[in-house]
Amino acid sequence: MKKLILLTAIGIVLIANFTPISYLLDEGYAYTNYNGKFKFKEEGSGHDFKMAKTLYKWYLESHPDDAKIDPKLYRTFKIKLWHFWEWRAMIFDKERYQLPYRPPQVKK
Amino acid sequence: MTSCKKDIDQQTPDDSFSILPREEAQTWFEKYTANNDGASRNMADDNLTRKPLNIDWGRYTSAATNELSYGLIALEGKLKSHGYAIGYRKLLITKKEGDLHAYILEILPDALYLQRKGSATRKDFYGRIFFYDTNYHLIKGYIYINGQVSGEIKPLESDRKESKAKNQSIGIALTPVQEICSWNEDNYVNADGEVVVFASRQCTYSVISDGLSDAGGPSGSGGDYAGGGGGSGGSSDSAPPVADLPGENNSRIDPKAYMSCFGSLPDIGSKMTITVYVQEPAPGLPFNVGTNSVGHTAIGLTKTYNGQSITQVIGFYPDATGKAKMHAPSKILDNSGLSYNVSISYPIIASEFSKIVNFVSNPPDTYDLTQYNCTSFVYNACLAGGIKLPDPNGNMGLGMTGMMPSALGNSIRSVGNAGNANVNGGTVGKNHGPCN
Repeated sequence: MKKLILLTAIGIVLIANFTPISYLLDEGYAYTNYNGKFKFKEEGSGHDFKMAKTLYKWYLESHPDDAKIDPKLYRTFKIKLWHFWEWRAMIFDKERYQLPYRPPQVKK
Repeated sequence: MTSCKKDIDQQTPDDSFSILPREEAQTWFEKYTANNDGASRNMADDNLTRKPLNIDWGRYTSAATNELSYGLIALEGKLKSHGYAIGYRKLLITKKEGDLHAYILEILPDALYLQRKGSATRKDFYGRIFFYDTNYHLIKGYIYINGQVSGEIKPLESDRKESKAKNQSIGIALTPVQEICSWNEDNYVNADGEVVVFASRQCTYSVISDGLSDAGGPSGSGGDYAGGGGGSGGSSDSAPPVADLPGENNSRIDPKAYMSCFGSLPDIGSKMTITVYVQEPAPGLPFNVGTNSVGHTAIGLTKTYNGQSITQVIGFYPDATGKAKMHAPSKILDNSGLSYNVSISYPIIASEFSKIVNFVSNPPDTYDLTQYNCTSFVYNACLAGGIKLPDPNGNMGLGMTGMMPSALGNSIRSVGNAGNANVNGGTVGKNHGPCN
């Protein structure tokens, strides 16, 4: 019985991580720079972390002052380890999770 | 003040046109406004009580072009376009062949340009500059793209008669070289809080020489009337900081605004290319999900004329999050910076190109992950222009077949380097961006 539960759990994790289900479950990763002038939200389908890095590189090139002050890219999403459908990304595409965290700016 | 002085020194031209000294400009302007005050306050069609211009002559800067000399002073007041305060204004005093004239310039930078750059400069200015007389009658204006005049602005017909005489008095002759232009109505709120409705004509390669719109020339460095001015830190010397721009928190774009840029280049003599970019889910493998999630297909349109090129690469997305992405209203996103694995390009004639432009400008309202996704959109856009892409259909799993990036990527790979296919991948460059 325990074996069945374990196999079912593994099956669910694999399906959630290696099928389009992970695309449907992700809440959208977002990024910003130190002063909030650069913002990027992943939309999936190519509008992803790679694009965020490219656009941020271009941003720093066109904003050398910001690049001098703090060139780091920050994530504005919190890491939720219980999101088992993100485990593949956390292991194999971990760069986005390793970014320093900065709370998203809320406009009043 | 020190920086103003520095600017004046830097802008002193070494050609036959000397700069307009502040004392001369101030004396003339004060005399001019005293003489014209009655006229300006008794405009028959104007019930508005205007605030007098608060001029800080300490912020005066001067420069010269090949044809005239002029002085600029930043004025208070912000301009609003589509609800956002992004513009500013300046007083312009020109001197040509001994005659002095005064205008109020309202400078309305393009919002996205301002957001990207942080401040407006003459060298690469995108936006509009409106010329008013001192009675605040709109006389004319220019549309700028990358520091070059690309179109002109005029008052609507009802206002035109009033400004006709003033228009003639400026002594500026418009000499358009190209006649491939279109007029569009638009509006903004000027620094007096009035809604100004105007017509703008977008032209490309229009060579207009009025001594003020000339970006080049030996004295071009002094023509920075769109830019920072004296740099004395005042509120109106440069564009105000942009806090709330349309789309700041929403990456969706207006496809019509992107596609309209192609109208600025003439069809005759232009070279047009369609490029399809595919980001495979698992590059080189037939899987539907991989390191690139479900992958993506984007379409790039390029039009090149006489060395100038406009490229727009866009993609079709669901306007939803979570599982609602399965079937949702659609949106178009700018795909600048897209990392792709394979691409294929097609040279195309103008009539077919315009069909694709039209298709992209009016995308389907609904996105469906299995029935009408990013790949379906690109496939159908190409089909509208008579281009049949390699087979994009594949097995989606659960017995379903449909168009998807992995299948299209695989088909393009099978075409190989023949047929303008690129199987080495790359990154999409910067798009031209939207045009008004």
